[in-house]
Amino acid sequence: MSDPSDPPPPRANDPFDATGRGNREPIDPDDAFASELPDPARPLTASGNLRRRQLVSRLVEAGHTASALLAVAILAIVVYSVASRGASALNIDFFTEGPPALPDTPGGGIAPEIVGTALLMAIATLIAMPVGVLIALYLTEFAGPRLGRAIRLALDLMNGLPTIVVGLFIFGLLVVGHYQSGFAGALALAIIMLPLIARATQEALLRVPSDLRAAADALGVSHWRTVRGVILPAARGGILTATVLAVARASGETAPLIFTCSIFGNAVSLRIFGQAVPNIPVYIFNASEAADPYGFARAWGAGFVLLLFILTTSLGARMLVAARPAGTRG
Amino acid sequence: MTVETRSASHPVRGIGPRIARRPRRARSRSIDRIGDGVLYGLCALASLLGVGTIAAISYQLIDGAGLAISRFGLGFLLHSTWTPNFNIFGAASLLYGTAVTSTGALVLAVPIGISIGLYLSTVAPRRVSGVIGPLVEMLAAIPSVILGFWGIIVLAPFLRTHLEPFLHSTFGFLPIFGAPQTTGAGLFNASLILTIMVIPIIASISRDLFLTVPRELRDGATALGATRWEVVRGVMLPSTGSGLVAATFLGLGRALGEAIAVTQVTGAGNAIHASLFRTGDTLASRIADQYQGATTRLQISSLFYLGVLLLAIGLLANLAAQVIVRRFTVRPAHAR
Amino acid sequence: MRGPCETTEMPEMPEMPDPIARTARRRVRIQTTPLVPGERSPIGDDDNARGDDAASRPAAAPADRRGAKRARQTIFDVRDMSVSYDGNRALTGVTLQIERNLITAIIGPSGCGKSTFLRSLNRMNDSVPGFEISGKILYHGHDVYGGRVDPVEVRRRIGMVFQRPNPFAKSIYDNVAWAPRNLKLKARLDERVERALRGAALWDEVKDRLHQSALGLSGGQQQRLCIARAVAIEPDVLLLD
Repeated sequence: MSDPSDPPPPRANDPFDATGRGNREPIDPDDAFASELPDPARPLTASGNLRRRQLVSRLVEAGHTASALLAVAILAIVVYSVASRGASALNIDFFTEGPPALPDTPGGGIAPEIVGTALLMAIATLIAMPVGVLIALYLTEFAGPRLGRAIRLALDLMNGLPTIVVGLFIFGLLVVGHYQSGFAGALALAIIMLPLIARATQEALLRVPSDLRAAADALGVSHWRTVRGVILPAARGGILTATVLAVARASGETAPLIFTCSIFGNAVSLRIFGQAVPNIPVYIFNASEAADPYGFARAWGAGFVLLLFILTTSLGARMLVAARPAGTRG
Repeated sequence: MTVETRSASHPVRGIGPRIARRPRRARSRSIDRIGDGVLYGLCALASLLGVGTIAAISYQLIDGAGLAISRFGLGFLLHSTWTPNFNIFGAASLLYGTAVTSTGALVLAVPIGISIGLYLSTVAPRRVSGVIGPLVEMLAAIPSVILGFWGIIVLAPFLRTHLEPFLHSTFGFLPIFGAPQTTGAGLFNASLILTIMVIPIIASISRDLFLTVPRELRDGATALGATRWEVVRGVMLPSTGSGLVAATFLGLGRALGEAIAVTQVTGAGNAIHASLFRTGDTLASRIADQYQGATTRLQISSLFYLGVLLLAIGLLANLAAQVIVRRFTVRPAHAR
Repeated sequence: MRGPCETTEMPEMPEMPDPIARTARRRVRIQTTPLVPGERSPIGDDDNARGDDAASRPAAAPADRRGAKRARQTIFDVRDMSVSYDGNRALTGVTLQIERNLITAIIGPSGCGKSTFLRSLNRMNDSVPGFEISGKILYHGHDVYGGRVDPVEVRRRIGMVFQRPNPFAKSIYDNVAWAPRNLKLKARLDERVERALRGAALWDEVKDRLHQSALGLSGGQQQRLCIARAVAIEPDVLLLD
């Protein structure tokens, strides 16, 4: 028998033959690769080019941090600009009176615009929410996979439409040859809210545990009763959040209203057919294009109110989501 | 839900069992059938409305543009005169303005947005990320009319007195940084405003994308003695590449479609200049600009023509984004 | 070092909610196999447990340069190491030494902390939230969790291959060449890649398609690719999860 201390004879195609030379010798110290290796027992601080690479990595990450800080700074600057200019315009009159009849007049307020925006949002929600929920129900209850994909694509495309185009559409549909109307404006806003509500409601419906549905089926309950009595109530929170977020988005939209609901007077109006309803976004837009400094002041105030409303409703919706039981947060 | 009760001990004789045995099931079956049918019908109708809206919008716009299309044809895209008094309208300078402001916005917003996304997913501790993330999203919640108002009142003076002269003196050899104008309004201001609007979109989407990169992939790269940036560069960016492209297209769609803020800050110019500091207009902002002044039928029709162009470009950009998402990426659990 | 084949019982764990998990966490076996051929191995290759960890597979780590029969040198000296995640204890009081040129296998039921132990050796647990470690892990006498230690340097010297293959979505060549490029080991890169792939017993199967995507390989091939890419930078130690 060969001495067990001799290396075993080389085998053909030995997979552990790292040198490819058909033997199992230890690596030749003169081999260029081996001599590149520094002593592994040296301290574990950065060696070789690692210091430079770590420097690069840290610089890059500092850049990322700077970008994030830039975004937050921009937010702070804009909010501060609006708040500082707008807060000084806020007083009781601001919320109870309308704009002054004559230009270049200080004082007055935006009461008609606040009422009008609330009215427009109410009508838009009344239109968009049922339709959105129904579309979501169709997606989860009835639509096959291909039809479902097509509908979801259409909703996503609708979400990305330029809002001025939506305004033009309603303009051509309802206003040309007639008059502007609050209803037209609300309808344009509803089109903008619809995809948001539909998609978010669909996600809320998908989060309803399937056990609930199975239990209802096992009891012999008809489909529509299940939807009405079990599924919709379970998804209620998600639907509410979706609507709140859609309202927050649409209340700041000006472009849909520019052609449909922008010529209005200075008085509170609840008439939505036949004439435009005063609203905050268009008021700010008009004031920003005019050269009236007092109009500017009122516009800043209006902007402050609008911004406050939108930021608080967005935050509120976020907290609604966070307050949900952990399993249903999605 | 029907529950049948037997009331053997009903006080009034003769009524109890007979009431209990009324054939409720047969009647509730027809109610149920009707109810199910109504539910299906309403849902289907709503879906038809939803999907049909895009078709309706397209049809309405093309119809409204009919007069202008027949008058100007495709030359509309090549001429830049816009003179209502002479009933001559052309969109060339608007196409230019749209291209310039959108490109400018993307050039700034995409790197910054991706950088923020990387910050939120790889650099920031979880609690910090939970604060900064929502703050960045708040940026998207600012109404465009307020941002535009801020742009003309606060940003424009700053551009006029500080930034534009600085850029002109340092980089004036580039034709885009020409001589500053007197108002601070112009395509440059519009590009900056659009950048502010697009950053949160890119940041949110890219953050979500980076968070879905599988842990094993990152671990594999980390275990090879790579620095954090090398892991990002070698593994995370390549694996999210298509998603980032889709996010860019979504940001493009947002920038293209913004009418109000742009019209507030862009000065309503009508010529094509090389310098970004000059006034200009985009497709969307020109439409918004004319809302009070459009009187003749041709002018209104020309606005619809602009709308058709804007709709086409906007739909293309969004479609590109959606196709990329559906074909090439693995969607995160809470799909957008 | 203790003898080549010995059972080591983990100390009694604190009260665990799940009695089955408690039992599972109790026993871990450590086996060693000499790396250098020619030395008689008390355990034949077939006897090494191939259960749910492949730690017993011999790795192509650089062999001892100065001859096959040297005195054993301690590479890892683990002293009373304990690990917890967010307060939940995963390992308690582990003490052992791992010696040079030996294949050391840690065998135990799933969930008993093998991965946690391995990953703690090369600081791969740093990014796990809630990770806390106490005790000392000495590598060549240096505390791995010491103050001035750069974790990236630790991982450069202590490589790791994971339980499931995780190749990059790059070509086979780029998978292996990625880390050497980072480390600026670009001289004779083709040779380095070939040596690594040969060492992982993959060269013959992929030599004609080095620039095709690594994701087209079978599972076993992908895992060998991961081994190749780990040894391409010639780490001092290779951990196999």
